Amino acid sequence: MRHARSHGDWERQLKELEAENQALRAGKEEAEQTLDAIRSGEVDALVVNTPEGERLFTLEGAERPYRALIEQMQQGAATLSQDGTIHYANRAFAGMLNRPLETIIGTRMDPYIQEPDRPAFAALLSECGSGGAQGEVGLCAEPGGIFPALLIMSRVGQTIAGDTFLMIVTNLSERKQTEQVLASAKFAWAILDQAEGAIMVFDTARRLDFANSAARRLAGLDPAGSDLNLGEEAWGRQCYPDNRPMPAEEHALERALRGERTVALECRMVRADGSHYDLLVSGTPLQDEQGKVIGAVRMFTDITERKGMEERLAAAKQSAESHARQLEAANKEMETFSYSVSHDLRAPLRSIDAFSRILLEEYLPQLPAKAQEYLRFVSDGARQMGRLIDDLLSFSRLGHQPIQPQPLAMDAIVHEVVDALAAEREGRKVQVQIGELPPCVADPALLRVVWQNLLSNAVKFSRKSDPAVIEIGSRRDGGEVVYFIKDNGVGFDMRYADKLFVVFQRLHRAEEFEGTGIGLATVQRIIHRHGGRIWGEAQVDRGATFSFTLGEGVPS
Amino acid sequence: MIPVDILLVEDNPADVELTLHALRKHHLANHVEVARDGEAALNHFFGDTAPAHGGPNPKLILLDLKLPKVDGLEVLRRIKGDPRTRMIPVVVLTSSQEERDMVKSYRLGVNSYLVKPVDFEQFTEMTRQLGLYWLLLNKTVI
Repeated sequence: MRHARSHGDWERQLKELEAENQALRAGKEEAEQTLDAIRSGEVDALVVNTPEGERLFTLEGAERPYRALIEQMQQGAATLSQDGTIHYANRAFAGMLNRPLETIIGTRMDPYIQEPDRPAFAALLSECGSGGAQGEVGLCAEPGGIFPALLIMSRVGQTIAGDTFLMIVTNLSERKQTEQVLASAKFAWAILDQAEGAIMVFDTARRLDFANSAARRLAGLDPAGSDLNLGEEAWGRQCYPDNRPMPAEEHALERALRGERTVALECRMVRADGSHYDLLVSGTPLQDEQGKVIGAVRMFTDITERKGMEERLAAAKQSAESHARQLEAANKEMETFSYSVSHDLRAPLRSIDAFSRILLEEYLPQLPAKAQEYLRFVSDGARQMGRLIDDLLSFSRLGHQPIQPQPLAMDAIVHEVVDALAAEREGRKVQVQIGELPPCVADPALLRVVWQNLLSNAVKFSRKSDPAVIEIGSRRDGGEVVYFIKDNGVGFDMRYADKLFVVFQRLHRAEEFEGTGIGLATVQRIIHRHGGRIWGEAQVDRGATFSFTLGEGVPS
Repeated sequence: MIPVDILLVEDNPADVELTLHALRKHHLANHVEVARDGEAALNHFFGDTAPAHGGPNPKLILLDLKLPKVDGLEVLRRIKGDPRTRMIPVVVLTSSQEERDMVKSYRLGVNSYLVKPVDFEQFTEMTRQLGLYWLLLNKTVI
């Protein structure tokens, strides 16, 4: 189809055609008055005077109920006689030609068709005689402009004058439509081009037809460049994630060209300089209607960063594991150390204690008073060291013993401990008041150690009070249960409170209050292993209060 | 030959003296023989000049675990593994509170496992009870 005809040609032709139609128009005046009647269905036929004589125009081919429909159509519609005379046309058809409707009806189609297409139109008309036909022609609109139109024609009936045809006209170049198509094509292209993932389309000869921006970036191509066929060398060698080269038949592209789909194949692209990047590749065959492969789409995502992260994560995990092993080894060493401490330090101690005692018991009369006193120091020292070893060992065991938390009745445990330590209160006036103690979740054996130490301390440091009053209870502090034990003993100076829980640190002289300085450190370690906190408050000679919580969950 | 009541396997001379002292105090030390290492203990039963060849077994073996040459657990294994000595009550008397030693000893068939108290009085009291029980109360297959 050619539309490129000059404006002048068109105007000249129009003038001739208008002249040709002058006679028709003159004889059609009456018809003009009845056009409305025809469209509304009041009239089925009319007679027009022509130079060739009277001619009968009828709308027999179009059933009345369809007239309204045809009037409302967006597409152009007309009924034609066998020779191409327009019997009827709707407003849309007149609009396409940009002419008054009344000037069209009764005229022939030919003048509205660009000259080169007229034979084609004639062919369409004759083809229509056997049922229907369709084809594209250039139509001429007023004041001058040719547009491509699709004509769909079918024979709808016969009149006295011969066959009648219905012609539906679609403007193929409608600007609006074109714009829409263009816009949506641009939009689709933009989506493809701007997509996060790289998209490439290949033909069966493995030539690259299309590569979007992401694909070009990955290959280091000029984003605006057009030379796409750089070959695989530009992209690097395709390998497995472990750097082994991937055989060509395994490549997503080759598989796609064989008609196979590949989903998210992980591969490593190794460049000539040895650097690499990692891709997640998918391949899809492009097939025609018969299922024949006509090309392939390869999509991929750069996962280099993610892989790098994974590798760093793996390295970090490995280093953490190695630390854990070192820690485990250190723990083992500690255990061995504890073992030798418990075994080897005890034997000499026993000798020191035992023989000094035998001397005191069996050879006392022969010993001067000073010697007796010194021997008592020796014996006391040995026993104190024995206690230190015991406490230190149980303290160090706490570090690597797994804790086994379970729901516990706190009041039952406290009563149990208070009863068990009755011997420590013998011969003294000690009032132990036990308040409300809500249940908790803790390791029962370790919790007992906590209360034993705290209660034993309270009893010990209230030795000078008469009566000694020890209060055990709890309070709620913002959803948390705080357990406490309070005594009216000698207390301590808060300036040294930070030393309370440090191993071997004591706030009282040994001759005043015996002890190893490990008890509270042990208590704190147990509380911490339960995820809780412990703290002490006191005033010198006004008693001390120790409070603790037990955390909600239990970290190991 | 004087029948042996107790075979004391102990390398530390102080502990030997303390044990004997405690036993003497309660008149239980009449027939105590001392082996100063694991090898000597095994020789007592399985050596060429062992009195066990035909002679009566002791009523009790007191065994320390940490011994020179052959350690206490090995001595225990050999004694409990031999039909001639299997019936002799063996009491491990050690400074070790380590659970693994205790578990190993019981696996090997020890009759009792005692940790020597550091405190002298407790040690003496324990030795007295031990002697009374195993030498006087307990019935042994000889």
